[in-house]
Amino acid sequence: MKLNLIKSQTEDRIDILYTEMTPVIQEILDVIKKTKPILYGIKDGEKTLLMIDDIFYFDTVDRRCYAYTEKSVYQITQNISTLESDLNPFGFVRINKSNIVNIYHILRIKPEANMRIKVVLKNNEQLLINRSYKRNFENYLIQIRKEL
Amino acid sequence: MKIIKGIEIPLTICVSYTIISLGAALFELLFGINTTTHTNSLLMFIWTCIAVLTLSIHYLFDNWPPILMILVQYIIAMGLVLLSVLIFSFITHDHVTEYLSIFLSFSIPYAIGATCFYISVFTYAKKQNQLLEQIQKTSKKS
Repeated sequence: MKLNLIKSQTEDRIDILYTEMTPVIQEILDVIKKTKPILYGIKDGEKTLLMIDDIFYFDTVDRRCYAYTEKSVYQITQNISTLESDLNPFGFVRINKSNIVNIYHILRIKPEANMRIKVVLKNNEQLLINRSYKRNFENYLIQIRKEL
Repeated sequence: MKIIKGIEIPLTICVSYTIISLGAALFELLFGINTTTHTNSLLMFIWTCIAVLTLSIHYLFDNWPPILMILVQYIIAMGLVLLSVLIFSFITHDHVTEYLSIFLSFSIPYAIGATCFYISVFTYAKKQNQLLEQIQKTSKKS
């Protein structure tokens, strides 16, 4: 198997060219899939490496994306759609147009009027699950439950 | 013209029926044709609005125990219903004496509707909470 390592200035990217799916390639794929993406946050002009597990939720305000940990807020460069796809395997699910929540930091689900439901986080912050994302949220929990 | 399909069909029927019934009742009442059916149609509509609006202010009682919340909402709704009856009795010149009948006419459908509504909302939340609990417990173990 030929291996090429190319240093890029713009993005981290892995392309795998294969003729047949072998156990070795499958193993490489499993490792890549389990690798948590690296996320940097900016707070007071300082760039900080964020631990994915510490993030409670992401919020978008005026096209700017913010990561909320238990007590801090960091601005991040990625957009909400990229985060949604990249962090989906790590417990993050979209609950409305501007929020992605980490299900491992949810304290409980609280019912709201008009069949809407609220997510109460472990730091007592509350987010609303929009009606259009409700089914997606439910399916995500079922899928994660099956995988465990 | 927009194509009506799926869930829009029963909704369109309900809206059309409401508009036609209310329109006819208002028209006949304005022209002095005062019948019990017309008064009832208008009162039913007002009571339905009261019930729906009262249920929709659920979020104001977020921190209250569910039973107390339902009770308070019912008292608000019943108060507004009796007020509407009182106002209507002056407009239609019909002195409503059957308060017990009105109380039952409103209370029974309200209780059924409120029960169904809350059961569905709370069941959904309970199911999600159970799933979350299982996920969080399993991930801690692993």
